Amino acid sequence: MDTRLRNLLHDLATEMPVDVEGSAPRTLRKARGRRILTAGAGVVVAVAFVVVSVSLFRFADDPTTPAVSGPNLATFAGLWPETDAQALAETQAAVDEGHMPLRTTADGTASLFATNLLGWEAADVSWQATGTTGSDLPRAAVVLAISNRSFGAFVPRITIELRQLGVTGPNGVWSVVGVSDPPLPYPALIELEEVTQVVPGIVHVTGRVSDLYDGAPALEAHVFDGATLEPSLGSARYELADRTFGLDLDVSATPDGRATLLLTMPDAVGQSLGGVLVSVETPVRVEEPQPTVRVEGVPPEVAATARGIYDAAGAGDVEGLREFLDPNTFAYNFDDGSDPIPAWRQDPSVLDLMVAVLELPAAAPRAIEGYGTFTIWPYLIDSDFDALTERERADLASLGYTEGDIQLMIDGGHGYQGPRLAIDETGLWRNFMTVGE
Amino acid sequence: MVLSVERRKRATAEGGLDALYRAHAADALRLGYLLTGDRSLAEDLVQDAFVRVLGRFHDLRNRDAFWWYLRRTIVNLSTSHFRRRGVERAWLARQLPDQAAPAPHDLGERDRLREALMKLRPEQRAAVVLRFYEDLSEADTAEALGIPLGTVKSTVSRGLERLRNELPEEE
Repeated sequence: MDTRLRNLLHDLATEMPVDVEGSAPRTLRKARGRRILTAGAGVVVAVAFVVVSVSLFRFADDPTTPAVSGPNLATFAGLWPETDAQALAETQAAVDEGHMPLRTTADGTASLFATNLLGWEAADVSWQATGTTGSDLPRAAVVLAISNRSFGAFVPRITIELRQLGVTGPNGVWSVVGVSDPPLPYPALIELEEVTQVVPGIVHVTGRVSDLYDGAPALEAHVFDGATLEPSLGSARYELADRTFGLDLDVSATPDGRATLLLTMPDAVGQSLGGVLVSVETPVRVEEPQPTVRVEGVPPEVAATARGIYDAAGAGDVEGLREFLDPNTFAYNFDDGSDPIPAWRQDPSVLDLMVAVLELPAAAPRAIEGYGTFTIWPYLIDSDFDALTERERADLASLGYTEGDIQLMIDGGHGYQGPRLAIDETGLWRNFMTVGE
Repeated sequence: MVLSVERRKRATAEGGLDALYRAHAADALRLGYLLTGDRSLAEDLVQDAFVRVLGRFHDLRNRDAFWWYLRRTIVNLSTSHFRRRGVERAWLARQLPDQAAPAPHDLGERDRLREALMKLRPEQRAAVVLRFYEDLSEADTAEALGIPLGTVKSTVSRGLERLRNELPEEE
């Protein structure tokens, strides 16, 4: 029976059609997809954190490094968590006080990167330090390759370059200066080919993903400037249809024209299977000065009164303005020796005009016969209306004057005819005119 | 543990996965067919097994180990399939009349074997197939099924007895 059964079983098995060529693509695709989708769930494989010698690292000077346009990284090489020297100095100060001990080691900083930006569980970040730190280099530098224990050996490691950009030695803070695919011959998960700001505010990102992961669902791109992804300067999710990707990111402006791009491939539970971190160029945000009272070059007593008026008027505090004037000497719209408070109480919008006037520079103090030396806002009272500058036109506009209004002043030949505010040399508020002389 | 470059290349290269599939797909499909008696079900089951093993298997240097994992996964999936759904009888009643179109010269014997196999309990069927199709020893069958050696012996014995009843020797 045994032999007969064997023969029968083998004979029966031949009924099964075998189309390996036809079924291979479908099965392999699903297998790779499953690796992505279950990567966070499962197999414990001991591998990872391998220190690779700096000479193998291919960020800066390798001709195969993707073309990444942007500002000169020499200004500050750090990409994470700090992106400028001041922030690094603040972190160093905190470390010196005993805080953030992980930041004093390269592997600790790399682990923070994995948990904070890649979404890995801290316990899954595994490492083995076999390389050399750059204690003999001008700036201590090390290259680490990290991987996630739960992912298994199929998921390539992520290479992180770290440096001590400020204080070096055992108490120096380590910073991430680059995150990329592993140096050859290790397989790459995400390969950047181009990161370019094609027009201000639009960053074009292209590249390809490893052929091991054609079942991967998507890439996520985050542009940020600091330790966390929020506040976001731009983000996008790219659904992978094949092994290449190309996306345009709307990127907000930054003060220094520089931000950090993180490209990840999240799995089903949000842990990223790979990561690339590079610097990207952004539009430069010109910080407009916050409007405030303009007292530069003004005598101290005068400036103090101007600030008081500005604060009270800005707060809509009509009664608060009373302390800066004497009704017996104050003139409101040429009405000498009267109390303006009742009129301002009836029309508080006048206070807005005071604020607008005080936000423009004052004219040089001038002696007014019989009254004393006055400092008068705005400086426009001395402007030559036959040769107004763009700045002066803009300031007139800030007071509510249209081009037509300005032309009328020019045509009238009497110069500035707008509101003005005067304080004498003792700091006493002497007048406020809402119309010209 | 640090993977060597060569090992990683083998483990992760496209050719590595592809070669593994091509090397084992035919055997896996035939085993799946004997365990399920259904071509479509066998294809689905084998695909699922490949997906599971390729997704988790990390020691690709040992191709024999790969087959061992794959075979065990196929057996487990097949027994789970029938046990979980509890529809084996209904499935048999529905599927057997429409099964394969075998060659005319051995039509009867193949049909009888297929029918007889499907009347075995899934564990019995798996034990018999592993012993007499895969030619595993009783000890290896026990390891593949994850059951004690004594259980394998008794299971195979009862399975063979039932098959003898279903497939009497022809004089």
